[in-house]
Amino acid sequence: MRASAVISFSELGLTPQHVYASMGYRGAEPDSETCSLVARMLADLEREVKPAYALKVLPGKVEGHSVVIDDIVFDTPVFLGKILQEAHHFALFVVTAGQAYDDWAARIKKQGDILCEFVADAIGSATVESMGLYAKKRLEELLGGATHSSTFCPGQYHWHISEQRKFFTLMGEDNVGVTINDSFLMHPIKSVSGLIGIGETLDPTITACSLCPRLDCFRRNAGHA
Amino acid sequence: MTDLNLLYDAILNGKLEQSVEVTNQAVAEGIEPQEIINGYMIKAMEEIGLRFQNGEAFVPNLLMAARAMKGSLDILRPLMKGANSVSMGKVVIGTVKGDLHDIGKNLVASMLEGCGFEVINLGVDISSEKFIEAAKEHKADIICMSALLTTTMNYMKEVIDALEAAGVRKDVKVMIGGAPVTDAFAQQIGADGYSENANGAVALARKLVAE
Repeated sequence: MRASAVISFSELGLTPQHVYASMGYRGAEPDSETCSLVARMLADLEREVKPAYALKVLPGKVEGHSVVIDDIVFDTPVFLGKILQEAHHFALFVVTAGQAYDDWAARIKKQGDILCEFVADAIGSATVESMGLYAKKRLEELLGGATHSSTFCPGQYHWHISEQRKFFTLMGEDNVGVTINDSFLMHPIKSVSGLIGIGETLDPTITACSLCPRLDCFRRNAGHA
Repeated sequence: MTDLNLLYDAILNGKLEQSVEVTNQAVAEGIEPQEIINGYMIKAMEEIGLRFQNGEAFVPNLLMAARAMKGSLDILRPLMKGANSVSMGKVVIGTVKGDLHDIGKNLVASMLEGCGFEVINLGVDISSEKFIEAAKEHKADIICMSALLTTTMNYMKEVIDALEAAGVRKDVKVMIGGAPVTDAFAQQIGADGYSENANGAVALARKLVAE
């Protein structure tokens, strides 16, 4: 089972409130000047950005604490092996705000205004988060109600980022243009990869954030836990 | 006579144009740059930093204040020479090798600059060799390292070890920051300090250069 698409920015349903959360406002409303800036920049980006997702569902299992898919053995951390123990399939996905976002953000950075640079970064983060939710919804439609875990990503909480290599080997051509560099970081920069276990006894409420001891983490504070 | 409280308010509220305008008026009236900086500008930055720490201000407020502060400093710096130099110290800052995240690091750089430090921003994906080269070239007082990933933060120790190996560790303080980094980690790798936010980074940098 596989799916991929480039979607329009409006389909994401991204609102200024999502961007404010990415900027660290934690539910508070920014001053009117900042609100206007966010609105202006969102409108500017909307004309250019082409977010995309790709996902595929493959049979797999957990051996010891390692997730094994198509003979590729992930060195997943012990806690993740336990959470995914009963999975019989895995959904692998990659989502991205796309190259057009990178180009736009680079142009803003060149202008030398750190506030605009900060807002552009927050918009990019909010875009790829929303794209992730969009792809997850699409996956749930394809799964037709099958129980699944939450999302786990290489580079997150003791799952070494070098595992991206194996992940992208499995994705093959289904990568919507996302590549990794020698440091295993993705390009375009605002991209997220990850896997979701599928199995009757899996608990979708257990997230990497909910297991992480860092209470002051910006992701937790942005409401990801 | 220029009311310098307007400059304080302009920086506190992040109003660049107003900040530049009042500074130009003060300079035209012959007010000493040091008096303007110490009496009003740094105090405004301290206040916005305090508000941020107390949850009464947010990152954009810090950035706008730092931007206004920098606008005024750009006017005052050329007027200051020798002992009256505005620089609180030189800082070389970068995100460590393997990590491309730079917004938090740029925020710290901006705050440091706004508070009177001379900042050499190396960018992202910076190797130990580049940190050492820049520290030597600019005679830096502090190296600031940033990492956003648990998997790249360990490179900070490699940089500190490389500073030791190059025989320059004693010449430069090292401070670190980034989402996965903690005070315990800073101590573990032999850094001189850790800050969890941009405002704390300024306070830490001041403390380190005073040591």
